[in-house]
Amino acid sequence: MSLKRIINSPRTITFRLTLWHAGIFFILSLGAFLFIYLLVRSNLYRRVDSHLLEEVGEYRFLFDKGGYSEILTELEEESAREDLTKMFFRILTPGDEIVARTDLAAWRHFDFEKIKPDERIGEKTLIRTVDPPEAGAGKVRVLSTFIASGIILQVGEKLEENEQFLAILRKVIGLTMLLAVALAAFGGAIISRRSLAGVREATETAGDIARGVLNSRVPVKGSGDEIDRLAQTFNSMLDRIHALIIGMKEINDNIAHDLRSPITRIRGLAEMTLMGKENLLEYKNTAEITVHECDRLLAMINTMLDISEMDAGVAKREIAEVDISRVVREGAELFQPEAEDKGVTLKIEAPPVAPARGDVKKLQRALANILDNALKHTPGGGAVTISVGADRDQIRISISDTGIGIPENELSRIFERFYRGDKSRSEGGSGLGLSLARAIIRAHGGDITVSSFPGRGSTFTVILPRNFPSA
Amino acid sequence: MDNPDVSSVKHQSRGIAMRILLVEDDGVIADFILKGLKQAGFAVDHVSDGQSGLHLALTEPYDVSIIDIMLPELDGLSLIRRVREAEKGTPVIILSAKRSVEDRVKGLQAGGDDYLIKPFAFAELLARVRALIRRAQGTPESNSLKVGDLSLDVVKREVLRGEKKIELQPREFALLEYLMRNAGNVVSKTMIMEHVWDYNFDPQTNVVEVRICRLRDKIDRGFEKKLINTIRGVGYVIKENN
Repeated sequence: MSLKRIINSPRTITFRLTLWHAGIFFILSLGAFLFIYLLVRSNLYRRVDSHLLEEVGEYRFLFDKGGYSEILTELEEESAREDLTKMFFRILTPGDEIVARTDLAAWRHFDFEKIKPDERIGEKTLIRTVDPPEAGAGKVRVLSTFIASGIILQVGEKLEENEQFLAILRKVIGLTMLLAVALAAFGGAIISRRSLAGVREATETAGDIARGVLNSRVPVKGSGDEIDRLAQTFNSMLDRIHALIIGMKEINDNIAHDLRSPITRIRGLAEMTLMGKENLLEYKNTAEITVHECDRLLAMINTMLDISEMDAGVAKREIAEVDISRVVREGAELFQPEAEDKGVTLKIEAPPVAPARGDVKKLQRALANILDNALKHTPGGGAVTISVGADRDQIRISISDTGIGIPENELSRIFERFYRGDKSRSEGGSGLGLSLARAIIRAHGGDITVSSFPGRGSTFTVILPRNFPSA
Repeated sequence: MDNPDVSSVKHQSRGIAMRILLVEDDGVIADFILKGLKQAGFAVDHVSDGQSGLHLALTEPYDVSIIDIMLPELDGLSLIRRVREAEKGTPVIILSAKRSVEDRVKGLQAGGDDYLIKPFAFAELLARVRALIRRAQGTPESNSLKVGDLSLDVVKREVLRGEKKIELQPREFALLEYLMRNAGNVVSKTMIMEHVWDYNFDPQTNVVEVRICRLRDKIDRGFEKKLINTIRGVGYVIKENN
């Protein structure tokens, strides 16, 4: 345990927690010990007081029995009975005239001025603690009372033994507290370091990531406590960043290929046209292909931006109620003539369903992309079936085709950007349609899945939650 | 060879060609816009910086201004704001390479009437220039459209080629109506997708080609004069060929 490190870093949470822990423990134990100390002291004093009162009772009794002379005799006898270094007895008038007293030889240092009778005595018995004139002489408990009118009895008793006991008690309490606070600080340090260990690990992991070790993760203990949840959240954030970075690397590779190819075509064609004979038809042809290729390039760039914006969640969406059945019917209608020309039957089972919330333009586009994909991969004589179903929470759209199907090993990859299956490479798509569809559906809080039987066809299933938050 | 992209109709108001101000600092872009607009019958003044643009916009009467956002000396948005502050109501089309919704909103708030993202199809720019002029002139949309011997009644939803009545599906009708409202002007595939299907993207399939093909079958088959023309690589135009 690097206690030094804790002390050296007063800004750390560990240090502050330790300080708080020790501080609170100090205040609480101080309170408790103070209470105990005062209780013990008052108990000790009460014992002295009851002894003094006993004596007073005795004098009162004697005075009642035999009057003045009886108590003087008693006073004489006290000298023999009591240890006069520890006790004294005085009988005096309210005017501070001493009538009788025990031997005060041992009381030379005591300042009797301090216990001069005054109006405070009155009817009741006055008990007070008189501090010694000099250190070490010990405190004295003095009782003053009238035992008859005009006769004051003063009994004093040294608190020596009690004081010694209290001094030991104070020392014990002080030491105990010192030890306790030290232990509390130590314990606090251990507890806070223990509980913040996860944070330290997260910090170290973040440091690793900053140094480029992208697959570093915070160890999760599975205890389910706050720190563990932090670690899990932190890790899932790292997973997402990692996936995005890998995605970006892939995109960079693909951009190199997919954007360079059309540019190569445009450039080559233009160069050839310039090198050839001045043939207007050829020039027109070149211009046409240039426009076409540029449009494709532009569409690709825009689609890539759209996907990134969707994935990053920064795309502006105009959320409103969307009639999914209508979007499906309109989408199918868009492709109907193309399907007819190809000899593919488009079957639509889209009963009216309650509206979902979403951006209609984006959903149109997602569905059009999935439909386009299905139609592309279905040979003449086949069928594409679109059905819409809904329950309380979600809307389900499934698009089934009777196409060539997707091989098992390609299933997980078809939603990747620029991915084209071996068989669809010749179809001339951008490889972005399904990626964009998924990005849109996911941005709506839904998901898209695919199942396929090679040779028999594939089914894409879109699930859209109905209560998509509008924020 | 005459250019089929461009209608032969001169744009004139009280006998004078419509005047357009073009403020664009990219020489090549400015060149093709100038060429295209002149061929379409407009009189165009071109300057390549914001200050000169502002000067012209405030002193000359133009029917439409086409203003790029990124300009030297005075940027496009400030230029438009200054023109609007001077209480000049000339319709403005903004050209910009920025495609985000925020930028579009910023442009329209500054006082632009339309916002076109680079790169754009010239046909689209032309269509928007014409739409702004129509709006400024307050020409009501006609319910009865005519190109050669083809007529379309929007209210009765009736199409006649000469005396022959032609049956069209609703979407085919909408497509023909859009082509006829832009008679003589080329419309691109993207414009068709946007206006006929209300899809704001090009699905990169031959959806539009297939529809045009079917429409052509119904309108032009068996007639000597073909009205629907394909401009390869650019789009489609409906017009009476000479």
